[in-house]
Amino acid sequence: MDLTLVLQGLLSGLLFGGVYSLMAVGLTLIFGVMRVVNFAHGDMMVWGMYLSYLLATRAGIDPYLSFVVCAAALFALGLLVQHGLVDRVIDAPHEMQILLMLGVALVLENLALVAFGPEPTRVRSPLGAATLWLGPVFVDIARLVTFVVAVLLTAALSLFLYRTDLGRTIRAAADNTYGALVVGIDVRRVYAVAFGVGAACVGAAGALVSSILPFQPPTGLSLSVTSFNIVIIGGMGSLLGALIGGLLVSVAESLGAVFLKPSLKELVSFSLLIVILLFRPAGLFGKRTS
Amino acid sequence: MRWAGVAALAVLLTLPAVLNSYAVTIFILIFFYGFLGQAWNIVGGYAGQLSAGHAAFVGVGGYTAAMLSIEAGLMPWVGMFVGAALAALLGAIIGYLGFRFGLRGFYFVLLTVAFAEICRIAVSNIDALGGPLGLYITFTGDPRQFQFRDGRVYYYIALALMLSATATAWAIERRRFGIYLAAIREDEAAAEALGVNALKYKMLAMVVSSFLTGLGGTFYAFYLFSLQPNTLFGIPLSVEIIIRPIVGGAGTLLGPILGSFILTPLAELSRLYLGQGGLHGAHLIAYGVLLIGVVLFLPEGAYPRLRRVLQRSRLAPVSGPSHPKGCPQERSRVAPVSGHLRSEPGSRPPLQKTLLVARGLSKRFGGLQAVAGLDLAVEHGEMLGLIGPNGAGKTTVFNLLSGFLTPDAGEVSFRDRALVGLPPHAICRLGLARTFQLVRPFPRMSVLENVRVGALARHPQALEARARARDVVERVGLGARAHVTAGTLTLAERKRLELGRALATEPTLLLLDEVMAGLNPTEIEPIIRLIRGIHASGVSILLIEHNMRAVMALSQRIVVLSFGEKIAEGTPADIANHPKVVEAYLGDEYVRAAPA
Amino acid sequence: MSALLRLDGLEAGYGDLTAVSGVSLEVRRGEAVALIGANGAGKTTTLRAISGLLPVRAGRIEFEGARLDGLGPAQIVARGIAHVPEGRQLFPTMTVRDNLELGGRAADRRHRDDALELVFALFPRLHERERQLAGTLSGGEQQMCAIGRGLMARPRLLLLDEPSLGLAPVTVKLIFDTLQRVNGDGMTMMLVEQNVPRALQLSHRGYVLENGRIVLEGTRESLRASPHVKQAYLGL
Repeated sequence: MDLTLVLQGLLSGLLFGGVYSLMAVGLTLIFGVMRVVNFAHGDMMVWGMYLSYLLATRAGIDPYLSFVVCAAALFALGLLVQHGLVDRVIDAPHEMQILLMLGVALVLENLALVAFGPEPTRVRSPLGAATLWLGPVFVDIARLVTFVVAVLLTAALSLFLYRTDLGRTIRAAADNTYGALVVGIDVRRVYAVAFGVGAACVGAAGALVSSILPFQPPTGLSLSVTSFNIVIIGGMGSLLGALIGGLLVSVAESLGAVFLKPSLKELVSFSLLIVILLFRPAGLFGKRTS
Repeated sequence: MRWAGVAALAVLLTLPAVLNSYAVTIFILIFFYGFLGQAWNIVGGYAGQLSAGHAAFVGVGGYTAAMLSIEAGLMPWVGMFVGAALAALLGAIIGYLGFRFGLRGFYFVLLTVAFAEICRIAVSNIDALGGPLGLYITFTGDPRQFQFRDGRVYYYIALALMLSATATAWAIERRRFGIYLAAIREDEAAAEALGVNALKYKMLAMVVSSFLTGLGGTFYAFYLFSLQPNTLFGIPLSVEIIIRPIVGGAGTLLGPILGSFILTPLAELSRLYLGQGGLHGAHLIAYGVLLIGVVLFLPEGAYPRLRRVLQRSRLAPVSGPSHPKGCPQERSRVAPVSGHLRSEPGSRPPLQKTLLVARGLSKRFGGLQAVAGLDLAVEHGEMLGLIGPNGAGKTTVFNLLSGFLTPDAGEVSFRDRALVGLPPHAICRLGLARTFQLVRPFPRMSVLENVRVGALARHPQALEARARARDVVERVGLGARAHVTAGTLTLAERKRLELGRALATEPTLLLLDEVMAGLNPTEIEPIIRLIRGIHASGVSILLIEHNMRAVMALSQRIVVLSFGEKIAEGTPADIANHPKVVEAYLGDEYVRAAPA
Repeated sequence: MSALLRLDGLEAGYGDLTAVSGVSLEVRRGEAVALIGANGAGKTTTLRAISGLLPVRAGRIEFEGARLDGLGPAQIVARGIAHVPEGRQLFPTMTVRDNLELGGRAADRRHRDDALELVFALFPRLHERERQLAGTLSGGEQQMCAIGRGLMARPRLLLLDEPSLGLAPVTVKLIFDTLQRVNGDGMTMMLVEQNVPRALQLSHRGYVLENGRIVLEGTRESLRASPHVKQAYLGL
C-alpha cells in the first residue's frame, strides 16, 4: 500500500469531513432540542445545493458567497416545516414523527426531481480548479475553503449556543423541556428556531459542497443516512459528537475507498454504525442514560 | 363480513376474464404490494417494530432463487423457499440484534436500514451476483421455471400470495401470539410483567415477516426477469413496502390490502401519465403528501376509519379483529368455572414456610443508593406491608423482585427458585405478579382484552383465556365495563384493571404498588375488601401503600424503609409507635415536639 | 388583606381524566397557603393549572385582579408567578449559575445580578457550587437551586410543589427555615406538600384536597385541630 495514497486519503477525508460535521451538527441540534429525527435532512441539503446552483447559473454568485443566502432560505424552510407540521406531532409517538418526516423527505426529494431532473449536477467555482501541493500530497483549494468555512460555521453555532441568551434558552429546552416551560421559556418558539438553525446548517453545507460533490435528487437520501450514521456514532444530541463524528466518518469512508474500493466506502460507515448501535448506543460523546 | 369477503374473492377470481392486460398488470402490482405490506405488517404493524429495511428480505429471497435457478438449475418453485429461509435467517439476525440490545424507535429503524444498505453495497460489489448491473433471467415461458406466457397466471399467483399472507396474519391475530404482539406494541414493560416473553414473540414476528417477504423476492425476480441491487435492496423499495400498511392501517388485518388498493393504482397511473411528461417523481410526491396527511389526520390509517363508518351505517356490520361477532354473553363460554381462580393458588401446598426471601438486596443509581443491603421475607399466605417516605426505595425493591431491575448485590429466592437474572416474564410465570404504581393499561384494548393478556400466561388457548379473564373482570368489579377501551377508564377503574390483570396470571405472590393512591375514601373501602378477598383465596400479598390506615388495617406485618434501608419491622401496632418511623416520616424535630 | 390569587371553580385534567373540579380558593398578599391531600388528589394539577402548564377546562383564575386562565406559561411567569415544580426539573447538564439565570431571563442584567445576590445570600451552598453542573448536585442542593431559580424571576407569588420530596429530615428543616424567612420578607407562597406537619408549620392557612375537590379549609390552627386532618394526614 502506497503511503502517499493513504496520506492523501486521510487528508481529503478530513477536509471533506468539515461538511459532514456541519450537516450532522444541524441534525443533532434538531434532535437534541425536540427529540425529532429530521428524515428530510439530506433532502434539505440537496435543496441547498440546487439553490446555490441556481444562484451560480442565473445570478453568477459563487457558492462560497451564496452559502449565506442558502442558509437563510433553508432557515425559513425549517421554520415552516416545524411550525406547519412537526409541531402538530411533537407529542405523538416517535413512529408517527418518523413517518411524517419520511413524507416530508419524499416530497422534497421528488420536487427536486420534478424541478431539476435526474441528471447529476455540479456547480462551477473558480476555486474548483486550484490545488496546492504540500510535499507529496495535494490539497484541493475548494475542499480547503469548504472545510475552513464549515468549521467556522460550526464554531459560530457553538458560540451562539453557549454565549448568548437565546442559545442558552435553546440548550435549556434541550436539557429539560418541562423545566423550560416552568421558567417561562416559549418552547414552541425555541423549537422553531432550533429547527430553522438546524436546516440552515445543511443549507450552508449544501452550498459549500455544491462545487465539490456532483449531486442529483436521490443524493439527499444518502446524505440523510450519512447524517444519521454520524450523529449515532458521535452521540445523538451531542454537538461535539457531531463535529468529531463527521470528521471520523469522512476519514473512515475516505480510507475505506483507498484500502477497499470506492464503491465499498459506505460499507465502512455502516459497519461502524452497527457496532456503535449495539455496544454504545449513546454514541462516542453522548450522555449515558441509564 | 364473511359474505362480503366471499363476494370480493369471487369478483377477484373472475376479473382476469374481463380485464385487458394493462389492468391485469395493475392488479398484479396491487396484490404483490398488498402481500409485501401484509408481510411487513406482522412485525411493523402488529408488533409495532418499525422496520425500514424490508427490501433486504426481498433482495435476499429474489437473488437466492434466481442464482439457484441460473447456476444450479433448481426450480424457482423450490428456490423460493430456500430464498425465504435465508431471508428469515437474516431477519432473525437483525431482530435478535435489535431486540436483544433494546433498540427502539429511530434506533431500530436505523439498524434495519443499515443492514439493507450493507446488503445492497455488498451485492453490488460481488461480480458473481452480477455486480451493480444485477442478474437477468432469460425468458423461456416454462411454468416449471416460474415463467408464464399468459400474464393472468401471475395475477393468480400474486393473489394467492396476498391471500396466504392475510391468512397468516389472521391466524396470528386471533391466537395468543397476536394478542401478545398487540400487548407488546401497547406497552412492552406491562406485557413482560404479565408473563409475555417480549423478545421471543418479537423475534417470531420478525422471522415470519421476513420469510414471507423473502417469498415475494422470487415473485419479483421472475415477474420482471431482472434483479438489480439498487432496486431490490434499496431504501425506496422499503418505503414502498411500509407506506401501504401505514396508509391503510398498520396492525389491522385488511389495512395493508386497502392501502395497496389505494396507493398502487395511484402510483401506476401517475407514473404512466406524469412520468411520460418527464415528471418522474410525481407519484412519490403524492406518497409524501399522503404520508403527511395520514400522520396528521388519520394516524390509525384508513381501514379503522372505514370500519367505523361502515359500522355506523349499519348496512354492512363489520366486526373488529379482536371483537368476535355477537354479544359474548349470548354464546356458551368454554369452561367458565367461577371460583376456579379462587381455588387454584390456595390448592398448592406450601412447599416451604417462607415464600419469598431476599438477602442483602442493593441497588445504586448514579450517586443514589436506592436500596442498601435489604433483607426481606414474605411467609406463605402472608400480607406484608412495605412503607416508607417518598424516595425510600420501595418501588425499586419491587422492580428488583420482579426482574425489571438487576440488583448490584444480593439474592432473591421465591418458592426455592433463585430469581436474580430472570427476566420479568419468567418471574411472572413462576407465580410472582406485580402492579405498577403509575398504572399502565394497554390503552387501546378493552378491559377484557387487557385482563386476557394476563390470563394467557396460564391458559394458552385464546378462548379459554377469555373465559378466565371474564371471571377476573367480574371479580374486580369491572363486569359492566368489560368492553370499554381501557384508555377511557377513570383512575379508580384503572387501578382495578391493573389489579385484575395481575390476578389473571394466577399468582402465588402478588406485589401491589400503591393501588389506593389517588383514590378517595369511598373508593378505597371496596379496594380494601377486594384485596382482603384475594388474600383470603390463598394469594400472598406484598403491598406498598401510602394510605396508612389501609396498610395498618390490611397488613399482618409491616417493613419500613428509609433511604433504602430497613429501619423497622413488626406488627402494625409496633410500627405505629416506633420512634424511628415517626422520625423518618416527620423529621426528628417533630418527634421532640411530640403532639400532646 | 386583598386576594392576590383567586381560583373560582377550577377544572383541569389529563386526557379524558378530570383531575380537579370546582376548586375555589384564594391566596392573600404576604400569606403562605398550604394545599394538602393524598397522592393523586389533584394538588400538583392545581399548581400546574395556575402556571398555565395545563389548560384550564372550566372556571377562572385571577391574579392581581386580572384573568390568568388561557395564558401560556411564559406569559404567566411574566405576570409575576414563579413555579418550583415537583422533582425540581432543573437543567441537569447546565451549571447552577445558568440554571439560576434562566429563572431570571425576563429581568435586565442589573436586576438579575441583584436577584442572584439575594439567592446566594439565602443559599450560600449554591454560591459555592456556582460552576457545578446542576445534575451533579445532591438532592437538597438541587431543591435549593430550584427554589433559587424560582426566586430569580422576582415573582409576587411563589408556587412550591413538594419541596421536601426525597430529602433527609435535616435538609427539609433547612429548606423550610429558608422558606419561612423568604415568606417573612414578604413573599407570598402557595405550597403543596405531603409532609403535612411541616406544611402547616410554615403556612398561615390551608386547603385540603381530596379526589380533585376541596373538602376542608381553614387557618393553621383549625386544620391542626380538625379530627379529619389529624386522622388522615397527621397519622394521629
